[in-house]
Formats: sequence, structure tokens, C-alpha cells
Amino acid sequence: MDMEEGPRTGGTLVVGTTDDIINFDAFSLGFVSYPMQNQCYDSLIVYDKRLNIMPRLATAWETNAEGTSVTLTLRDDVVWHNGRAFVADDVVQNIERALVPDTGSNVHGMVQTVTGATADGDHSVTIDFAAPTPNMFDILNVMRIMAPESFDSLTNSCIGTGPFKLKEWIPGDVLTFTRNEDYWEEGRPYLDEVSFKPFDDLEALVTALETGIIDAAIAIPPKDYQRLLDAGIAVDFGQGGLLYSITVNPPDPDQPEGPLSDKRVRQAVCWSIDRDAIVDQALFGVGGATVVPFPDYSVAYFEELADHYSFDLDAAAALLDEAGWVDTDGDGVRDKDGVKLVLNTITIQAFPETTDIGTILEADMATIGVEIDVEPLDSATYGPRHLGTPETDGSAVFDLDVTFVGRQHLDPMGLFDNSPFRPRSSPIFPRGDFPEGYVDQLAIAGSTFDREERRAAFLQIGEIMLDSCIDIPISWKYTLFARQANVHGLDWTVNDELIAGNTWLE
Amino acid sequence: MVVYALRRLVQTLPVLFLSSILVFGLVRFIPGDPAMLIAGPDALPEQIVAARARLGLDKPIYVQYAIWLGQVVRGDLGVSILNGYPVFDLIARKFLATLQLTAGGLLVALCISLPLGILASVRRGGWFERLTSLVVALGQAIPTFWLGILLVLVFSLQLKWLPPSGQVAFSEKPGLALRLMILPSVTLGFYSATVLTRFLKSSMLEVMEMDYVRTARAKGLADTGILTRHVLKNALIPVVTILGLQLGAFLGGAVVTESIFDWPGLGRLMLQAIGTRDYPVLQGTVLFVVVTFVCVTLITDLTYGYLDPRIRYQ
Repeated sequence: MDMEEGPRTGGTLVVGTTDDIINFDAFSLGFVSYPMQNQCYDSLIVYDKRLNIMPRLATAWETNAEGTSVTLTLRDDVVWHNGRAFVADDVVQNIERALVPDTGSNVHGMVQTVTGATADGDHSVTIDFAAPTPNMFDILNVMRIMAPESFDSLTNSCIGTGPFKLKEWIPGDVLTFTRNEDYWEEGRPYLDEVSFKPFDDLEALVTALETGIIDAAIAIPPKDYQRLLDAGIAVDFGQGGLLYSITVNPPDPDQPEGPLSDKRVRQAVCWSIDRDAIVDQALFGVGGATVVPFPDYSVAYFEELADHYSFDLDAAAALLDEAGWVDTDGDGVRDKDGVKLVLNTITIQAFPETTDIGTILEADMATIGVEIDVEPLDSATYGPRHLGTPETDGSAVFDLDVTFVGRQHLDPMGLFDNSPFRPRSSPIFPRGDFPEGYVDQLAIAGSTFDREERRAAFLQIGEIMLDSCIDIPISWKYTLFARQANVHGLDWTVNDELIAGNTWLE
Repeated sequence: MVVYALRRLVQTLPVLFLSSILVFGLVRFIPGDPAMLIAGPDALPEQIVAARARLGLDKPIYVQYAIWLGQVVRGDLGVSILNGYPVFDLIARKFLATLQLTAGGLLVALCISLPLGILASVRRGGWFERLTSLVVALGQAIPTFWLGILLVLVFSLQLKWLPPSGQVAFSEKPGLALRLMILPSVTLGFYSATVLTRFLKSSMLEVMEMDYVRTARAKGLADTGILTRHVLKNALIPVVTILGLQLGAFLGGAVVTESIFDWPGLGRLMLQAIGTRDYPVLQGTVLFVVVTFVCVTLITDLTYGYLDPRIRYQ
């Protein structure tokens, strides 16, 4: 059969991943887990690649004039994987779960303006907001709906309405989903099964692709992009909805002052980022340099800010001189009051390109007398340093953090759900000492639908972020999806979740 | 013999108790927090606190140890804090894969070391002995990860003779299972083969100098008979000790080999548990490895009696 004859049904798609799923809680948006969870669950609406709102479990939606509530009409032909009919009260219970900090997981931070949800019959639900919420559809897009009866067993099982049902999970070995015969979308899915195989060794993942052991892979390292193309493997770029950036962590007001307490030192770091070299050498061309965190179609994008910083080590050195950091003892590292200018820079081991970015920065800043101490961390160590802990009173433990953030490609407010930027419980400003105007403007931008009012607020926020240098955007991060030539219809959401429902094998 | 074995078993109890303290303590010294992984990448401080409480990580460490030890003595290794699976079930499943790889690695080690060790000692001073010394030196110098990657490059990517990774049970697809075992078995067994070759050769040379061997020759016994009945059997005693240690190491999980070849054994389970700080899985697995090692050592000791009847257990 050739491609003209259309999709084939049957077969098993084996997908290699860089890590195992952590659990089946759809509200836990761990980078590794959620692309796999997508096979089990559906969301109420979904964005297409052009960010148009498309129906899923909801077929229609209507907001009130004030933008403080949205009423959704739900499909009436959907059943859960356990055979029970999907009804509006299920959505209400999911919303209620999201509103509780302990169970809301990563979605909890996004639903701060939601006051509640009410069902009107079995197929209509209204979600109420305390204030106009311009990113309300982003929330609906990211929030996948779980069967309430599964809430207590999400550590190792899932009951959803998605195209595939959980068949078996052998932790660390394989996760297998099987076709949902009662799926509401006519004729889907095409595949009998989808299996996800975690590889501890990235080299083994790439070799498995090259030799046909696996059919596809999610999130292959940028360094292997060209190698796979040369081996005849198709590699597609995801939505680019993530952003490599360096978070800058000045000392808190109750901590001793450090180099980064001085805005001029932070700005010196901002001037020392060679984005082109990073995209070429650390990301192997799989990226796109950017100085601002929003793409050019965003309401928060401003041409006049897009070139605010360039790679200018002379400007960086001048700022350090002005701030009083000079090399008094001739050892090549600037110092002030007996303190060396050394910046502890954490990176994520599981994403080796973050360490490469740190290394490029280390080499560049060494030429102007700043020592960058790169410290790659595994996920379990990175978390406490990146987010802070109760022992550190919620304060992050690093000077610079080469990381990536997400959701800024949808409504700009999505960026401010990421921990470094959020106005509540930010590990960078745990005592609330945000740069002046930041929180106020964010409150305006997040509570109005008026485009001009929002743009005015976002312009101020952009200027504040660039001037205070609390975060340094570097490049768009593209998730790479690799597949064998016989795999067709492999797709992904705007959040780079794999969609296997439309996939078929030739 | 039985009394000796029982006494040895009793002697292992303090070893296991001390090991449990060591295992628990060392695991908790690794920096990192599993609650962070469970709470999610952008968790709020209150969510992290709640996750810690749910996992029991907010209790003092000695209380956590007492709870764990209480479970262990009742034969319960607890459940994974990430996926909720019973640790014993996880170990049992992975141990089968490790057992399979161990058998392969051991076979490779013996197939290489026995002929090399014996022939190198018999043809002492010749080119074969020099070649054997070279192989031994190389085998002990080459890092396992390098050998594994090299084998994949040559036999999987270039020649396309063997699959590079994965594992299936022999009961499901015997042919594929065998093909999948070859590269990891060679990777795992090669180092041990060189260690065993060196010991076997030295031991053989030592025994060949013994009076009883000279006497056997003087009596006109055939060389083959002397070698198999008098030299090899006695030369194997120290080799069995080394073999036992290597076997214990194999059964404990070959972390590097299992990672390179995506082999779902104990080594990978430990590696993944370290990565996620899944304390119950890590503690349970390491304790299981300690028990396995103790058992293998005991069996090794008991084997001496068979190989050398002069050794009697008092």
C-alpha cells in the first residue's frame, strides 16, 4: 500500500523518550511526563498551530461581556476509559481539584483568578473568574480532564477520554497505551498501540533510532539533529514554545549583598551573551536567538526592545569598572572589597545544551575578568536549587541558572506562570522585592481584554525586565521529533505534546 | 558442613544490619529532593511542603529509618514514592533481566578466560603467552562504556549484524533474545575474562611447579591427564574466589552496561532511582544487592570443599 491509499490502521508505534513518565496526574506539567500523558487525556479546547481555538471535549464556548466567565457546551458522545459517560460535573470536579494547592499541581498557579465552576445539566459548564482573564483559553488548552474516580490513583494509572487507554506501565522500561475503541473522534486512532521507551543514555536513544529499534523519538538532543538527518531519519521541529534563558538571582533583602545586588553587574552579564555563537555551537543551529521573551506575533512584543542588548564585552567591562569591580591582584578575576567576582551558574544535566551555554558564557566572561562557575545538576538536585526550599525560605540557590521556560508563546501571561517570573512566591524575589512597577503592570496586563491597555502595560514590563536584567532570554527552544520514514501523521500540540491519535504506520 | 553454613548465615545478620544503616544513611546524604519532582517543575512552596509530608520526608531521619527497617524485617521493602509500585515487585522483575545478562557475561568470561589462561600457562614463554598478556592488559585498561559504544558502532551501526539495545525474555522470542544478549554480554564479560585469565594463568603456573605434579610426570602420566586431574582442579581454587566476586558484581547490576544497551536490569533500576531520589527503591535495591553478594560469597566458600577435599569446615 502506498501513501495515496490513505492511512492504514493497526500496528504499534514505539517512541523513545529521554526519561520515564513520573505519574499520570495531568495537572503535573513535568517536561517529560506531559507529552506522554496526552495519549490518555483530552482537553476542553485545543489550539491549532496558528493558535486558533479548536473544539475537543467542548464544542462551543461563550464568554460574558466582562470577560469574567465562559460557558462551554460539552460533547454528548464521550465516554471515559472505564465506560462511564463524560458529563459536565466531571469538568467541575477537575476545576475544583485545580483550585486546591496540594492537588492542583502546576495548573494551580494558572487558575488564580478562577472562582469556581458550575454544571448546567450534563453537557454545559460555566467557569467563573474573579476578574477579566485574557488567558482563560490558555488555561483550558493546558488543563486536560481526568476522571474524578481516578484522582486517588494517578501515581500509576489513568482514566481519561483520550484516543488511547493505559495498557501497561513497567517503570523504567516501557509504557504502553492501547487503542480506545470507544473514542469519540470517528475513525481514530489508527494505531493499535503506542509504547514509550525511556533511554537513560541519549546515545543509546539516537542509535536505536538509526537502527530502527524504535519508530520515533521525542526531544532528541540538538547535537544529534544533523546526524539523524544524515541517517535518513525525518526530524521535525516542534512549536518552539519554550525559551532558553538565564535567570539571574540577586541576593534577597535579608541576605548579605553580593555582586548581583548591583544592577550594573547584572547588566554586564546581559551584554556578555553571544547568542549567535550559542545557537551555532551549543544548539547546533536548532534555535533562534532572541533578546526578548515573546515572539513577534505576541501582544507583548515590541520592535524597539528587540535589540536592547547585543554581544558587547567592552560595554560589559565598562559597567563592571563603573561598579568598582577591578582586578586588583592581577589573577585575571575582578574583585571588590576582597570578594572575587565569581558567579555560580547551575545547568540541567538532562539537557546538556544548557551546560554548553554555560561554558560559552564562562569563556566569554573570563576575558573580562568574571569567573563563571558552571555546575551541572541532575533533576532532583536542580529542583531545590532552582525553586528554593522551606530551608532557604523559598529562595533559589544560584547566581545564574541556564534553564528554559514555557508558555510565553501563547498569551504573554503564560510566561508569568513560570516560577522565576510569577508575582507570587517567586524563588528569585521570595520577599516580594520585585523591581518597581513590575507587579502593578503585571496585574493590569493580566486583568483586561483591552489590547492597547495591555500593550502599554507589557511595554513597561519589558523595559523593567531588560533594565533590571533579572532574566536573559537567549534562544527559542524547539522540541525535536524524530521518526522513521514509514511513520506518518505524527503531530504535536502547541505545547509540544505528542499526538499519536492521527499517526499511522506504512 | 551444614553447621558451618548455618553459622555463616548467622554471621551475616550483623553485616546486613550495618549495611541497612549505611544504605539508608548514604542514600539520604545524596543532595536533592524527590518531593520537588512530585510537586512539579514550578511548584509553589506550600505544594512542596505538602508533597514532603505526603512522602513522610518531614519526619526526623531516625524515625524514617525505624519505619523502613520495621517494614524490611517483615519482608516489605515498601513502595516507590514516584509510581507506587511495590519495590519487591520492581526488583523481582528487573532481577530476571539481570540474571539473564549475568549468565551471558559469565559465559563470555569463562569462554575467553579458560582457554587463554590454560594455554598461556602451558605454552609459557612463547608468543601465545605474550599475546594473552596483551589481551589481559587491554581488557583491564579499556573502560566498559568505551567498549560498549565501540561494539555498537561496529556491529550495529556499521555491519548491522546485531541490534544495539533492548531486551526480550527467552521464553518470548528466543532468537531475538539471543541476538540482543551478545553485545551486552561481551561488554560485561570481557573485563572479567581478563581478570580471570590472569589469575588462572598465575595459579596454573604455581601448581605446575608443585612436587605432586612432578611426581605425576615422573610416573609417566599423560600431560592431558596431569593438566585436567591434578593441575586445573587445584589451580581453580583461587579462581573460584575471583569468579564469585565477579558474579556478585554482575548480579548487583552492571549500571554502565545496562544503560548503554538499554537493558532493564537492577543496575538501571538503581540509576533511575538515584536520578529521581526514589528512596524506597534505591534502599531496597541496594539492600538486595548486599544480600545477593553475601549469598554468592557464602556459596563460593562452600564450593572450596568440593574443589579441594583437604578443606574441611570446622
